[in-house]
Amino acid sequence: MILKVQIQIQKRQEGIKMNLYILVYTVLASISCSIYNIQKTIDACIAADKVTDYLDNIALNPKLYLTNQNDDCVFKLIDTLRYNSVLGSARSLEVLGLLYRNSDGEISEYFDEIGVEIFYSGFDVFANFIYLHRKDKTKNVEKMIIRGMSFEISMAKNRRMKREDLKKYILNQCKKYKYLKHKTDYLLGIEKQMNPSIFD
Amino acid sequence: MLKSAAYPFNTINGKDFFVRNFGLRFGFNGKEDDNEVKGQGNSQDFGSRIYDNRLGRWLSVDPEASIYPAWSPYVFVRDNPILRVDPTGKWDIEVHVYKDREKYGYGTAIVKDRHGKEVFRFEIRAQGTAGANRMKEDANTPLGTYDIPDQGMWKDGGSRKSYGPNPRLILDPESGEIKESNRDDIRIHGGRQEEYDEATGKWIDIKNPQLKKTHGCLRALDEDVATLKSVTDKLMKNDSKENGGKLTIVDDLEKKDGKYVIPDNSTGVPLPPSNDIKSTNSNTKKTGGD
Repeated sequence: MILKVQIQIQKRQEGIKMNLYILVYTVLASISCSIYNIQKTIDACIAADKVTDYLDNIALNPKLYLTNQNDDCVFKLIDTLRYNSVLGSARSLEVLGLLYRNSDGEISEYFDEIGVEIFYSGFDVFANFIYLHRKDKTKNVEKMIIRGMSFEISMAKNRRMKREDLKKYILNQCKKYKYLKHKTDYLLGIEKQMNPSIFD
Repeated sequence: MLKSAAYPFNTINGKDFFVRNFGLRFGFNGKEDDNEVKGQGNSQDFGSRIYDNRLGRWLSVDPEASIYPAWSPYVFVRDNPILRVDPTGKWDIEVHVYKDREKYGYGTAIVKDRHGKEVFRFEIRAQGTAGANRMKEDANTPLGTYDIPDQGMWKDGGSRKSYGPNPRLILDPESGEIKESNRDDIRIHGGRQEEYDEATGKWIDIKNPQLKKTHGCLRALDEDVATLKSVTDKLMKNDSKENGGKLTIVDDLEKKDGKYVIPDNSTGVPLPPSNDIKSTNSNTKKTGGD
């Protein structure tokens, strides 16, 4: 009698185990299918044409929009995001920062130019963004600006003078946009982090 | 987990390492196994010749044997399969760099035509801003083999300062560190040796330009990039069989008497030190803005 009960319990346990295996298998299969579909549909060319529709998707899979993609489309995507950022789109700037963090080789090199352009053409946008996200550990946008400007200084004939000019520019911009002292000091601190010797 | 390792001439218990471990149809050197004559994985079909990997020898003479009269026409890659690959039948680029690129980040690129004859040599910088860990993005250029695509090998960089006035040479990861690291977007390009004047659409030279560090790419002087393009374009124009082959990066530069030299075991004569090498076409003018 006890043996029969034990066998029944064992069979039930096996049944539960089997159901669990099927459940886990189904979940894993659906996850891998959805990942495959995401990868399949990722196309930098399409995203470049409809950037605003793709911002969330790019933010979720920045690396996939950079690797194994047509170079021209990646550049177009980055240029469009840069353009929107300069016009005031903080979300575009944030996504640009994510792409910067995942870039390598020639694309990474191009981000140095992007950093310089945003510094000069979209000062208020990036200043507000990095000040607001100053406690964010990744600081993608801040790093992009610092590295870009480091590159700019490294190309200058007189680096010391270039740094002085940059300080003046930051102070003038801070006055223009009426930033408080704390924010101005924070932005001047960014200048101190610029290190042109990384390119030498 | 793999318990075996690939041997230089691809000999491992008489089996092709790649085919045996990965179930691939195409193994060593990307060539197909010919299993019908000598059993599984004992010979590879390289197209014009059959290679026996147990002997490390060809079964017939090299059609281009006259280029190396000192060597047996049956020898595989002049008996140095670590350093060399069998020519693809297309123009190739060998890049020699120093092991510790934090000490010396430059190297020498040698372009050879499909017969293995050197046609151009130039200096490159293969040092990334993120340091020595080549598995990491933005770090030094990973070693290994890159494929130079047959179609669209040159891409125009437009007015982007990063690449300069000349196009970039596209390189697709094929094997070695570049493949293992999953890194991408490594190219040969110039750049950072001039300013772009948007008003006139022209590039203005900087005095005494230096090869700045890259984010993993190989940077060359703008004039060398222009020469590389014209030399390879000419090769392909004059010989219908020529096309973009492979670029291989090896860290074999040796420091001798304070200079970095390329070892060349085949002749026993060291080639000129890489840090003394000047562009063979130093008078070549830039191709100008686009």
